[in-house]
Amino acid sequence: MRGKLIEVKEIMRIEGHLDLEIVVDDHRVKVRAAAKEGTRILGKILVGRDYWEVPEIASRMCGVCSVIHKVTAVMAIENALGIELSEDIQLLRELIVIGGHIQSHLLHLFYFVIPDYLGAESIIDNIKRNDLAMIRDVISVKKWANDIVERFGGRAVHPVSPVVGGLSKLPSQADLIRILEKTVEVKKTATELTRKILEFDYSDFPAEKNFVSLKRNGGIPLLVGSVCICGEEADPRAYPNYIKYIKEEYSTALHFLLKNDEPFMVGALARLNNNYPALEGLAKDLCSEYNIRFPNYSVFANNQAQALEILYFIEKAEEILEKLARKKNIESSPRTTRRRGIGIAVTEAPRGLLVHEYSVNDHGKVISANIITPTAQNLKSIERRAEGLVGVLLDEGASFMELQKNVEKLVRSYDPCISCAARFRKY
Amino acid sequence: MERLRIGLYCLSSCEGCVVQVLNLEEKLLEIMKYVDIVECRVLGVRREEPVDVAFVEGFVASREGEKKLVRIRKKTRILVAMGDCACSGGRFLMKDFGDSEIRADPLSRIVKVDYYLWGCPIDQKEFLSLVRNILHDRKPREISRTVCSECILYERECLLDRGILCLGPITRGGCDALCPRNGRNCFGCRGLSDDANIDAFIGILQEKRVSPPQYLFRMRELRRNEGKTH
Repeated sequence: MRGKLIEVKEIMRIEGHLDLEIVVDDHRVKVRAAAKEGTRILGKILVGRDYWEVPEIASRMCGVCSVIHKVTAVMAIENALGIELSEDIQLLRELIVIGGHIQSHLLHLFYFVIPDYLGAESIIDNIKRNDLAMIRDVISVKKWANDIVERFGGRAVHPVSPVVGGLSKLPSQADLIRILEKTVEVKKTATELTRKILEFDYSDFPAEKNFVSLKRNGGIPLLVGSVCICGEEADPRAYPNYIKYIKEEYSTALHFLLKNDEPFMVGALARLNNNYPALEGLAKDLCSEYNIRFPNYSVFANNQAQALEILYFIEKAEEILEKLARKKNIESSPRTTRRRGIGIAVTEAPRGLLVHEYSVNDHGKVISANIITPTAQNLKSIERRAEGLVGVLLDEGASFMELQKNVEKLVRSYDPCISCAARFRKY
Repeated sequence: MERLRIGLYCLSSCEGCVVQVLNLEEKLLEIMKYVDIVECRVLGVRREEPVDVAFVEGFVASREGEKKLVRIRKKTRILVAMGDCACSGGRFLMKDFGDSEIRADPLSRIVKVDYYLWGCPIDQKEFLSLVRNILHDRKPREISRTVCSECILYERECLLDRGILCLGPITRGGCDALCPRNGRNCFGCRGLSDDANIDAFIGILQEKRVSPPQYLFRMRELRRNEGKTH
């Protein structure tokens, strides 16, 4: 097998088009994760727009995580214009984002990942066999999550109501209570689903050592926090200075490294590794029951981290719903201080740290735009860790089929989203 | 009824339309009693066999994309353009009418398209209705009404009266006025209604003291080139 080029075209069960090229010679293994997404350069399209149009277009970065793109774009513009929001609106936005995260995690774990561990090709096999118990459970939780986004954001994919300055429609108390009433059942079902994911056997190799995420006291942060870069905390506004991007000829995505040239990982595992003491409730209970601890450096543990986050976020949503349902009026009036400026928002997308950065001129037009997506940051880690895995498997005398299967499984555990990674250049 | 073999394909896009299909949840399980999904990358199924209906999301951005689309057209009986990217090259959502010099071809520029599911993303009800129609060998009805005419039924205050640019009066309906119903302006993602009168719309904007955006004039120009008078 040495010297041979292995090419996996369009890896299945991931979001977007990614080819994998593996070259093996006597001395080393080289892996290239090549995004093959045709680029529609959103950056170029955003420049010259009215500021209010930016979130509409920026959310089209990705259909799986459109909610966080929309909210992050809105937050960055608000930061540029000095708009401050009421606590209620911030809570409602966090609620919508939580709905999007749960939907995304469920899609990844139960539609993309689980066939790897059940030895199946696709979730469709289960449907064909009429083996619907698990799918019905997934559907009931996913529907609840999407219902949150739909009721409070207008639509589950590319939500419409998050706008610069707040939300274009405020929920009624009845809406809040309707969702709240279902949480007891949803928590029960989600606990069973999380157990399923925790019970699989995950290899502890390969390991990543550099993890980057938001960090906050008192919870897993989504929209606010400092940036924790390999244990060191920094002002999120300065984050772009801590990483550098490289253009690879073979890929339509940007690839990122830390300033010291090392790859790093963002996502659910990074969030838990950096915030584990803040994990609480049902997720924490399951950690003790299954003897799971963080930090965990195995890339495959990202699946476990996502499963635990589903439970954690459901309880977080319940907390927000209870708080808002007790109120007679939701306070919404925003305060604006200026017409122009440079704004940045650093948030946690389902797949990890997300940056939107815009500058707006006196006429309310966007003059520059920059978006750093989670998968673009993960691509170099994917390549390095895949090289490690291939090296070990080759020494064990693995066949081509085994090699391909295991590398795909590794790539999938990062939950890559190539639509996001490939659709941006800085302007 | 014979089982329908369908494929879901993505060219260059955000894959949000496919997510809309997956988000049908139990309704998707229901249609899978009559429909086999034989090709869908995100679900991990790939069979190099002919299909009855190919639902294609995304626009053509490259030579490879073009080849892929031609391959899909060759093996399907019916081809459906799914979402604004596939229907128009994304120009109605992005408001990019060929000015940015980025290749973004709608499917119809390369192959014959049988049906269109408009919007960004597609509307779930319209998807289900199209599948039902195809199952019964019926031709789906095309919508000529505008978003504005759907919005009026909700008796909300008109956004244009508040000086907010809303594209409802010229945009193809079918979304049940989702955006205005949620208190915000229509962004025009479903494309121009067949009866859209852009001249009159620009007049209304000026009357309401809303400055007409540059792309409206570009849309009017393109429409004239297509042989429409207004």
